[in-house]
Amino acid sequence: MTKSKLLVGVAVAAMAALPAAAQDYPSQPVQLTAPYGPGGASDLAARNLANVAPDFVGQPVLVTNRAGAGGATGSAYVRNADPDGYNLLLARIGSHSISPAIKTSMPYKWDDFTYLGLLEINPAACATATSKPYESLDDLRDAIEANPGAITYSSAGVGTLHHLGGIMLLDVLGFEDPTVAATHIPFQGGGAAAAAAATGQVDFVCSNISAIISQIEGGQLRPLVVTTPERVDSLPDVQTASELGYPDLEALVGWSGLVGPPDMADEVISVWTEALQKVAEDERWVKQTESLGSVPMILSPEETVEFVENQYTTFRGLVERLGLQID
Amino acid sequence: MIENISDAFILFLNVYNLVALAGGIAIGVIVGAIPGMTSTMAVALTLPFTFTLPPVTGILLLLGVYKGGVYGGSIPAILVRAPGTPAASCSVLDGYPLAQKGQAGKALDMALYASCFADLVSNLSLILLVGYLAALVTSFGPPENFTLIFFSLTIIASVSGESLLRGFISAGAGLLLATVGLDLIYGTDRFTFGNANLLGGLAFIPLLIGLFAIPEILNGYARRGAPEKVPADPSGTRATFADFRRCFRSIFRGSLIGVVLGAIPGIGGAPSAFVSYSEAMRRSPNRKNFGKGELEGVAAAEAGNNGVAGSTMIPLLALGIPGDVITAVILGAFMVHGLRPGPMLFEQNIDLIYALFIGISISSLFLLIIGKAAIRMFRHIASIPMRYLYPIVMVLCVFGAYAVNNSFFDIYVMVAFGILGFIMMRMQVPSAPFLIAFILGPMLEDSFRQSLLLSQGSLTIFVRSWITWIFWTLTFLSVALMLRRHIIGNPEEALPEVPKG
Repeated sequence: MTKSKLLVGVAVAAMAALPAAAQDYPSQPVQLTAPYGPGGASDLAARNLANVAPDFVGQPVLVTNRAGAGGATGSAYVRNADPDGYNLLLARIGSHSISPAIKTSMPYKWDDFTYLGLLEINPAACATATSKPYESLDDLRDAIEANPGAITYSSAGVGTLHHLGGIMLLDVLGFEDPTVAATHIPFQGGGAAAAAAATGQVDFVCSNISAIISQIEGGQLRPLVVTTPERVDSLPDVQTASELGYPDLEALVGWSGLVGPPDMADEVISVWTEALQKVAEDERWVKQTESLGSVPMILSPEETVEFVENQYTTFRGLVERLGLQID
Repeated sequence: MIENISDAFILFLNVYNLVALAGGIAIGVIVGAIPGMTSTMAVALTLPFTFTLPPVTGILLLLGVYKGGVYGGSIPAILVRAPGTPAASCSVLDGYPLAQKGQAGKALDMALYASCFADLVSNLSLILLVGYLAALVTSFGPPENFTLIFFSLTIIASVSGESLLRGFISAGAGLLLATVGLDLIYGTDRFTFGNANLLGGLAFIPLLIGLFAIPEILNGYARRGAPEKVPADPSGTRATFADFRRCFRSIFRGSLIGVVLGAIPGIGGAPSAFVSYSEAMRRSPNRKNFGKGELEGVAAAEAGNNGVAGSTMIPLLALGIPGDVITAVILGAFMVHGLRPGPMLFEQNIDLIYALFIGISISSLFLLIIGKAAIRMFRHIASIPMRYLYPIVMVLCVFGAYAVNNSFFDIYVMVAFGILGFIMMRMQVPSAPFLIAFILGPMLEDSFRQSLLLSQGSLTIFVRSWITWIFWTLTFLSVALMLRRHIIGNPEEALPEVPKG
């Protein structure tokens, strides 16, 4: 190869490697990372968005799973990617508000990302097996008072919504040290946590409703409280946290959001905020989201940051007060 | 009832359902046969396509991919010592030695027959025993799981080969490396050395490929001057009915083991394959031939891992509980169609359930036909000269290790375990105990600690139910038999074998 040919080659390669101008965004497929394994809530939310988003942004959206370390692996990958808009992340409550609040060794902070919008929320509930004698939260509190530490609750692992949910419930019920009032039993994943509660291996579980609705409808689990401000359509008879006098429990709500690496260009951000407004009106997306047990809720980037910050601050306060953090 | 079934036939009998099922199985077999592409991944990738299909068609497509994938994993396990899926790792033990003897066709055939038979048994159990097995599931808590896993660990002795000591060394290393990652109970980092890539633990597929396929390739290059091509053994091109009959007891036993272990959430195909293999070996008159190319070993392993393929749907359909990642994906497919698996589904959508059952029960037959076609294609791989085959396998291995989690770090993991596996091979340390310990170790630890949390530290929880007593008894019998065989057994059996190559 002659020197001039080599130079041409280098120039061509350099041009190809140049980031496409933000004005043309998107000019190639967008990679959307789901930081949890296939089939989970984050994966389904990502694939559901990827199904309809191409109609509004004009390029395919490809979902990639990068699971591991409670969402940290995939999130860290996008955090360190180029902020050109071709690497986005399906952020979740676990990866972006609970883990950053509870783990000091996280490779990123919750606000290290460019927030493009909230997609949906996942209402939560606390429930007990129908084979257990607890008919209400009061019954559960009495049982815990009578046998400190003997009552157990399951979770999908340390630093998950289930784990923090159990702690928050014990906190609002008035126990001085929620970490010892009842015993936390972590399982591998939300399915196993729900199973342990439904089969009566543990006394209660706080979970996103979609993961326990089958067991509730099937008569294995008895819901004691839902954490939404209003009653939930699928569980009209279950009282809300506010009705029961525990409004602080409302912070316990799962969510999915769309985020990117830090310092994304405004042009790129506006492509997505506009697209998400159209997604919010897309019947297919709304129907799929609802059938998975979530509530569609598209928020603007500013509203999303406020929402996540509120939740993070609540969780961080709880973690600091109770000394829950993990080094 | 009759009306429901006739409704179900109407719901099932259309060409799309048959095409979805057959197409799903074909996709599954091919994807399962590529090392690193697991059936889980294939099912997850198929899921979005089912959003627009009718529920029965969509779910049958997913089930087809799953069943095809579980079988497909055995093909590269036998041909190139690279298990396509974790569950197929046990099929390597005898499948690859058979291929080396030029009997790849026979091993592939037997793997298919055992898989289809076990699949059929598992499907029938799902259909006929769903209620009973669901009741069994609800009585399995952490202590029951602990005793089950504890018993399963005794199979390390059967796959240790000649030297129990080397087997224990291998298992110890596996247990140790399985502790890398997040601690389940406290959420603290263990042995991650501040490396974010290790937070999730060592990825299983890269480790599996590294431990099995890479050493074989390295060994192939190290062994210069050896014959390039394995001459095909004319008696080993296909499995006969006599072969099937000889292995039938092990296949049947393996199927039942698969059915029970599949119904328990969180256990899965790999432990089932190893338990089935170990039981077959314990009872076989050809015990000494296991691990050196015993057809019954392939049959037992494949029966064990396919035996879970139907019963794994039991907790999902009966209780709405996904027992593993694949059933979690299938749960997603139910949900996007507005269906919620669980007792209510049997009341509200019984025609749909029956339609699925009809599809599931013919899936074993489809698997047989499609598997036969796949073998016809793949069996020629065994006759490709090593100098062409090894580089191709190597590329697939690197691709597979990367593809699991789109991570370069996983390629390093594969290379590191490839080197470790090669050293182990040279020092005659068997790799199967390493693998079993790596799979079962975390399950053992988690269930042990969960149990003690439940009981507030009291050990009596480990004898709380009749299930725990059954597994304690089985463990005791298994250890006693093992000690008898290894200590006062036939002295000839204790002689170390001269290594090949």
